Amino acid sequence: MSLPKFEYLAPSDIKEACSYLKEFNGQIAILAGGTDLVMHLKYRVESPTHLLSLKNLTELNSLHYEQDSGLFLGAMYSLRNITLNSHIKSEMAALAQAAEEVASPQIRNRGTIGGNICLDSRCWYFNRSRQLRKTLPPCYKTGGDQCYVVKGGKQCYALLQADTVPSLLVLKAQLRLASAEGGRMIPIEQFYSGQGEKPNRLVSGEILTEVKIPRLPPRSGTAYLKYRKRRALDFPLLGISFFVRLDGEGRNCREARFAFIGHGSGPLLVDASEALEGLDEPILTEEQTTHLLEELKPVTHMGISASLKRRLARPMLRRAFYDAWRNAQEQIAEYS
Amino acid sequence: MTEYATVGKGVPRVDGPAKVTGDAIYTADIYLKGMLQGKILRSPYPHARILHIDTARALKVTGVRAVVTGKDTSKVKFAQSMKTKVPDKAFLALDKVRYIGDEIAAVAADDIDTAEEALELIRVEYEVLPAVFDPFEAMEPGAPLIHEHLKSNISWAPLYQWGEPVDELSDKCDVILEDSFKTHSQVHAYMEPNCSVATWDQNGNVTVWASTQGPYTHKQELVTALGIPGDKIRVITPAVGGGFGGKRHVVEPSVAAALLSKKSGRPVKIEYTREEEFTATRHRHPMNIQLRIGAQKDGKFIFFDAENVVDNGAYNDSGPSVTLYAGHALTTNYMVKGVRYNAKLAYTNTSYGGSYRGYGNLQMRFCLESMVDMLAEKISIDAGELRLINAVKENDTLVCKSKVTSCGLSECIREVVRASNWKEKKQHSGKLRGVGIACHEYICAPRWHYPHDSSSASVRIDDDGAVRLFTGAIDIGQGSDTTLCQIVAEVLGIEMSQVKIFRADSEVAPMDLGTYGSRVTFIAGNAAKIAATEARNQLAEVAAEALGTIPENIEFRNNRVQLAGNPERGFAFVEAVKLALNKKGLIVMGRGSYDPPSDVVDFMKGEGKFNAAYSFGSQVVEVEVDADTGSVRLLKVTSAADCGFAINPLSLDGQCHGSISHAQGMTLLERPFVEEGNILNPSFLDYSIPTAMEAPEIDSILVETIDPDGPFGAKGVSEGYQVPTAPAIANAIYHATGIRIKEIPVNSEEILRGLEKLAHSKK
Repeated sequence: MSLPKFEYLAPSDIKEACSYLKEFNGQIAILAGGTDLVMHLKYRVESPTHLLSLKNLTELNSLHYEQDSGLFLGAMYSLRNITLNSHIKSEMAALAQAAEEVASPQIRNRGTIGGNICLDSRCWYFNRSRQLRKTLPPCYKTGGDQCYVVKGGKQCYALLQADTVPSLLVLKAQLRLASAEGGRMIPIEQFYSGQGEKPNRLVSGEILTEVKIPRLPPRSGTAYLKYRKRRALDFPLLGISFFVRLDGEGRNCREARFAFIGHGSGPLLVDASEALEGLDEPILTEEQTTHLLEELKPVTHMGISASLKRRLARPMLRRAFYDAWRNAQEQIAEYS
Repeated sequence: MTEYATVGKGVPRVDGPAKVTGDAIYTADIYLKGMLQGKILRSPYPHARILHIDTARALKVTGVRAVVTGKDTSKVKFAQSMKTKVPDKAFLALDKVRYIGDEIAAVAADDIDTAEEALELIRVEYEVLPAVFDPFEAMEPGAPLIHEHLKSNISWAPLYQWGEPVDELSDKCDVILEDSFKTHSQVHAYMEPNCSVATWDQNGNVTVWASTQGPYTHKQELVTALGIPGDKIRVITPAVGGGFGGKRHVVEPSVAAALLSKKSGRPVKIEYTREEEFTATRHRHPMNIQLRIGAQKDGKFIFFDAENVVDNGAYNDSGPSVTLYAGHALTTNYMVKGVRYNAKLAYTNTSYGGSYRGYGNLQMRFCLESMVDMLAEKISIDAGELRLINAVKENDTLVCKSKVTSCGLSECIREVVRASNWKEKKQHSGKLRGVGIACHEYICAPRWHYPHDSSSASVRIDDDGAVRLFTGAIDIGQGSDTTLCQIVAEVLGIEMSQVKIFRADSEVAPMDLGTYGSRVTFIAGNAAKIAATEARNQLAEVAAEALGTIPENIEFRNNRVQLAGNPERGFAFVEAVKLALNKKGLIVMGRGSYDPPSDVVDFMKGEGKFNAAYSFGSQVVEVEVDADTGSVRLLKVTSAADCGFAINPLSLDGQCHGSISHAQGMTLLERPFVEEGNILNPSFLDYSIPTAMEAPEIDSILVETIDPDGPFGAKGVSEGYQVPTAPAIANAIYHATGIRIKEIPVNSEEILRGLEKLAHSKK
């Protein structure tokens, strides 16, 4: 399968990049690794006239840590480098775990954190060639007015399957979005639309340049778990990250939240502090599990039924909570 | 046992270095001057009548050189050559399209983009027809009729009775079990997509380079499609990146490329995309099998009684023979008094089944071997023991009236039981861990499609010391080039490196029916052995004369032609060759052709010895079931296979590992999701074949039985390896959880539901 014709742009500063975005508004796609975009182009899911490569923006391939404010990750920082970074591995286990679980070594070498955050949604009905898509009238994603996943659905139900997103959500990451007009900083939880057609709220002309992850409070821990059919290559059919903060003694839960990915068109972040505060062991009862999962509304998609996802969510929630708790205790052991 | 110098050794692959370094030339690597790129227009509808095709707009696109439709073909339909077949498949649609992906037209252009653009400009006027996708619904009266030459969608409905009538055997049984099983489709997933390059020159000579498993049969199909005589067609097969049966009959890209070349006067290449591989080639036939099994309480099997509804898809291809072979598998593994097999092969508007490693046998054994386990539990006999009680033995005559020439099945069962520590593991299954056993028989060299089942070879020895083997056999990755070179080196007492192999060019290589049915080592191996022996005899005569002795006293070993018992008297191999040339003017050439001792299959009765030999085997698998996710992990496979004689044990290990991975995919992971004939996951991302991360530990044991007819006693063994894995996994899941798997691939949600149900019933 060949690529459509496009003009390739590779500016070396962000200002120039933003000006291209403005100039070719709506007709330009951002290349930040390309592991997903190139397939989209081959399938003609989108056919931009211009491709804006961020590879010469060397300042985006960076990582630095500030004692007071936290970790700053350039959008072009590779997933592989995240898995290798000792600071991330020790303090933000869930992020390192999520990056490690993406696809394959080759894809982690090319794939970037910015690309993963801005990953497009996926669906069997449009992630295929144009010739095969012609077997059915177009869906919301491809310019039509119907959804084949949820028959009679009023929107696109394509799945968002970005591995690192739940971890960044529970870590309270913030995203720096640059544009010709200057830019803005938003919490990642405001970044996702929940709409399959356009899963994020990046407005045209904007580039994600940096991810800021605030310093984790002491005595806290995280974990990421992923369900997939194979132990390599697959996108998450369901993924969960959990954050837990323990009290001064390291015995009771003080703060807890978790986030799911892969169940629907956007992530789900749930604040579990109220439900779990005071808990003195990392074990959830059946009732607590049911209560915490009330908001999870999975969609039958890509050969996995909603009911299976609901079944899987229960042990995954319990296990992620347990792992995050253990991670918090390890932090306490390490720093005390 | 005879001592050999080259056969019986784990010699590295002769094609290995070229393949790992990238030097090997595949069809897609061929670029000819002025070559165009071709693309095929496919049906977007599962069932439609074609009213009109307008190619005018497509032809106007700059860079488009030719467009062809069904009118440009011979308009003859084809099917795999077999007596029960009705030819039903047009090379490019003539009147109707019957599945999403059916070929309608083809375009050749300067580049792929232009060809794709032109495809969209071909206007096809369709009358969309009601379609049917389920084989049971397709057989209902009033279902949309897919092929007008028939009265219903039943392509074939044979009833086979082997041995004593089943209805009269019920009285002899202490126990009769009955159950239903279902298998889904599977795609071959070879690494190299189908590719063809064709030139049609001004004299009407057609040359086709094609990634096929059988250049000879490919040529026959081109004769039919193009309507020109065989002497005008040359088929060359470069390196092939896997086939597993899938490249036996995919001839459409070659036909389209040849016709486009004829019209454009330029060479044309058509390379399938991976998506086309999923949607528009053949795949494994889904089967719905209902089996009754009657036995005595001492474990002796009395009868098997099966009904099978086979989803043919839109066209026959190999459907009839796959259907027969599924039933035949009931007659070959275990001694039984009577077998009844009632099958229905139903057309549906889905992409169609074809030749696929396992060929019906695999689907039936999933069912049979599962039920053998159920019977073992019912009558309280160990599952391994029960199989031993009934196992076929050497010189047994099967109910299908075929005699077994060599058989190591019992030894295979004993070996896997011993090596896997079966008895202990069966007693002490850990938490959600289980072991399962299953067996197989597999055909070796079936005489099914032609009156003959021949292969031929010639060996030429030049004064540069090289031995050149010309064979019709085609190595599609299974390792036959290496095996054949080993055979020739052994006969001539020379090094492997001195043998060069030339094959798969219909103008140069002698005839061979192709790679299928585990036939290549057996048949092409015998042909190569005969050819090498004839060349050896010529050399022996020359050497004997020079040494003043008789040819019978000459031996060939250590790269020498010498007097047996007195190795100083003799010549270096190359000197003997020169002697023949310089003293006698003799260019040493041997030829061999081999047709195995088997009968032409009687398709109506399914009786007789239509295989040259049978291979056998057994596997014990260990699985772990995750109670949280319902996922099943294949931990270990202990395999024992009766290969007759292992010409290359290393290559057999490779076959064993590859087959188990393939079967693991079919049992646990791989499923095309099809919605109204539309395959939704036609990519390696969404259709999950196992990765290295899923690979189990594999213990591969070889059992040698020295078949009287095989070359050095060897039998075809490769396909059989794939057969017992699915039922063994299903049996191990039962052992681990108490859940009986009746449909593959295994659905993890079913496992979770089953576990919940079991937990509930224990409360």
